[in-house]
Amino acid sequence: MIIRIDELSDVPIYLQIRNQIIMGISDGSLEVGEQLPTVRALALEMGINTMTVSKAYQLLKTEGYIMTDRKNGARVRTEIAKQGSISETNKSELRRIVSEARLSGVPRQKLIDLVAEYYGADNSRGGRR
Amino acid sequence: MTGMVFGVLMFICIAPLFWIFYFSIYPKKWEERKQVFGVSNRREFREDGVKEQIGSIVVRAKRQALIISITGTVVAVVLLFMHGMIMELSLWCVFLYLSIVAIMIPYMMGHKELMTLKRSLKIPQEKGVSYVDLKTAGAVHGLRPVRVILPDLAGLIIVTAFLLIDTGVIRTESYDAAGGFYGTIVSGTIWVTGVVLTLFAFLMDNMKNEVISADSDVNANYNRAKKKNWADVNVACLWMNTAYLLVVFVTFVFAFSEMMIVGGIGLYMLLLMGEIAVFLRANNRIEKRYQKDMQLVQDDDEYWIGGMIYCNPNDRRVMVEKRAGFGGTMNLGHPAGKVIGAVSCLAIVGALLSLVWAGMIEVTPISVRIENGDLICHQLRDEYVIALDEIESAEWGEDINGLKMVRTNGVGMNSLLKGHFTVEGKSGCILFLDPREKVYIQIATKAGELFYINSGSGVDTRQIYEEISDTYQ
Repeated sequence: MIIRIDELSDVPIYLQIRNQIIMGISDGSLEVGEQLPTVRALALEMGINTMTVSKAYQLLKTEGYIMTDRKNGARVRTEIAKQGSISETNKSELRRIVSEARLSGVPRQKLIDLVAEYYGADNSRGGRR
Repeated sequence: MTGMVFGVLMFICIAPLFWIFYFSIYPKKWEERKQVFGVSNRREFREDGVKEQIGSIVVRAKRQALIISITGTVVAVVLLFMHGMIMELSLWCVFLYLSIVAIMIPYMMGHKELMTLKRSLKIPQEKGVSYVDLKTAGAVHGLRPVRVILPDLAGLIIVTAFLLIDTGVIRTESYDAAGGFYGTIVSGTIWVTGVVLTLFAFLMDNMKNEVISADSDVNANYNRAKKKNWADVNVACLWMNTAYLLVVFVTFVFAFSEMMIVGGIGLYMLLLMGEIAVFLRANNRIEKRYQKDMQLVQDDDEYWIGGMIYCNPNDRRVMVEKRAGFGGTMNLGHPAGKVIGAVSCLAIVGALLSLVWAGMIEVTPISVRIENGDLICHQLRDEYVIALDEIESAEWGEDINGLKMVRTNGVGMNSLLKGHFTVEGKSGCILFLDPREKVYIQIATKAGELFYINSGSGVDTRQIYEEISDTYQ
């Protein structure tokens, strides 16, 4: 799985890493149980501080997407908790996206189709690319 | 003769540089390269109209580089016939610095033109964007540690052997400079060069894995091929270093020959140049092989000043792979990179200043006089004072060339031998000689020191010898 980092983006780098790993797990680019690079290796490859990667991994662990242990490093969790609800933060983010789309004149159905496409694509892929 | 050998050595080191640079950074088929003059070779560059413009920039730069390379080679041939050790060394060093700058000028001009063209094409800027493949991050290597540790260990055995001989643990009849630690110092220096090479090998093997494709397998294979190439060249250089250590050992211990040592360096440098050429060729083949798979371009061209100097304050890496030439380059945007860059600049200035100092040593005549009951040997900042009543014996010598001398710590030039030497197997002797004058005085003091001196003039040396003889007898 390829991660794209934009140093000049308003989104902090640790959040960019976290968001893309979640997208990777969702669309199957990252398989369940798959090994992630060590904090040091990923920091070295990205040319960023190890604390930044550590923060992203910590966040992913807290949110239940990955598991870490001293022996095996970080791995994608085999069982990701399915709460069946959208978090308040994500609801707020979705509202922002819908609002921007409405103001830009995007038809309601087009937005719904887009969500369905993303949701469906991820759902249908399930496994590895 | 030594001057000519030195000239040949410098020629071997410098003249091929032009052609290595010429063939590696001025591409014949720029379309197959990952970067052209330090600018990422993008898909947009190969579109009709743009392709022709880039083609003409490349042809022009290549023609200029060819003229510079031919001129440089001719100048190097002329320098071969220069005489005077320090004058020669100074000219070669200045020539080396100028050569590196000169051969890069068309490259930098080409870089500037390509960057202007890139901006005019209004290609969306992706400054600050980088890609990382989670599957290859920190996981792709081409170097097995045992491959670099073996030659280092073999070298260490040779250094240890020298140390044992110098400390007298092992005794050998043929090595008469034992105790001077000259062999240990020389072999240790060569071995440390190998250790530095080993560190460099690990550094290159741990370089960032590049992302060229959305397919992780392609990325892994591409990076493995590149790192394997790095590993091969570094291991070959390490074995060459160890082989040279062996040559030094055999020469020192069994049959000392300055020509063999110097010839060994020449062969070493020649093979090194060959290795670099082979590496660059293999690297180009890898780039060509993966050209069709290159879908992702990391647009960090803006951080490459002139396509050569990397300066990216947002990048935590201190060292990155060069875009032109061989090896890595410092990230001048990183604090450590700034310090190393400044130290390197100081080292270049220091090297030039030390050449000026060496030149002064070469041209300043030595002076030997007797004053107030002391024999005073003086040149520049060095002065040896021997009280005449401390002299135990003084012997007249007719032929300096008949003495077997190995320098331990001091100056060894065609016009001056000054400092500590091992003479005829006796270490710690102090020399103050102009070797162009064949006569000398061998002075032993009551403190056990042994001096070999002359004044640069046979008549004056004879007069001083007679005065010394009169006094101590």
